[in-house]
Amino acid sequence: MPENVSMGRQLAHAYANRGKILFHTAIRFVLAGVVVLAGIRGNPLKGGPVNFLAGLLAACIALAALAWVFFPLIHCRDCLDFYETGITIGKRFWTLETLGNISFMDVRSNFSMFERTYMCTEARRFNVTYIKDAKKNYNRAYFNEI
Amino acid sequence: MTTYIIIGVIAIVVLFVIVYVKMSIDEKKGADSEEKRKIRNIVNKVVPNGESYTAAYGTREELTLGGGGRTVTTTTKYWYYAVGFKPGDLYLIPLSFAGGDVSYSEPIHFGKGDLGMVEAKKGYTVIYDKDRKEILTLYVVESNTKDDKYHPVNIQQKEEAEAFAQFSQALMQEVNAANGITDIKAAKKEAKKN
Repeated sequence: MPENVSMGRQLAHAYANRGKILFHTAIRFVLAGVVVLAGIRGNPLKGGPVNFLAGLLAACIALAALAWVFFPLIHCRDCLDFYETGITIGKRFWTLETLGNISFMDVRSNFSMFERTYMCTEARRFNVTYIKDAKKNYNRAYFNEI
Repeated sequence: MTTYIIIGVIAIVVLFVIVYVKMSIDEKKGADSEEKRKIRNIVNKVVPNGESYTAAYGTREELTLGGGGRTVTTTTKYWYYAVGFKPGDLYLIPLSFAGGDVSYSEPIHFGKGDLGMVEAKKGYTVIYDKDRKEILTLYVVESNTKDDKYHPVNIQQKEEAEAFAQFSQALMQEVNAANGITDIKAAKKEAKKN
């Protein structure tokens, strides 16, 4: 954060949605588990891998599957802090001038069971899927409530 | 086989009844809902001399298609407004709904002198600037129910919707006459050429 930018008073804070992160991880774990079990059932293990390359390939696939299953956990520390002059997203402070016009977008694709939420700004698009009440806190910080 | 057909029909009927009952409950709630009172309060608070304006709930939607090849993206944008109107004067107050909260921001004012053209249709009104470029299409409808995340309110507003329809017709006549527009279609075509 540039030293000459004052953040002003903190107006709102949005935390990571740990329940959602755990739920998504659990769903991925179940899906991966079903695929692995179906694979083992269809091709029962008989001893070790045929050769080194086959074993390496199997290990890479297993690692990739583990990374996919536990990927949502990297969002456990996501947060948004709303200040008078800007927003801290992760560890970086963005001024409201840099962010410009801010809107929220929900994205649903055919390749995913779950919807993703983005905070769209003129600077870039921020993934706020795993942040609890991001839009609600943004509204509380910068708009009037009734 | 017959059993499965009967089960299927019963399931469809039960689903229909559930949806119909939910809609009826939402409609009854909307007649004097908390959201409707909030819309009135927002107009009173934000619009100068707001009590003299009729307050209604308005929306705007824009659907765009994008992508290409095998990927097709559909983007629908939603805007929500508290609408304050009286003859010749229109205020739109942008609303935002999130987690049960209703937030509002600075109002947008349209006087009849600010507009180049108005097209009033059944259920919606299109307003254009002095260059006859569309500013927005505003829907003020009788029935609004909480169908999903993007339709967040239960507001039944029969009188307000009828009043807005009359207001739009009058505004259309005044603005178009003031700008020398007798044929809206021709005016739109001409604006596109420019």
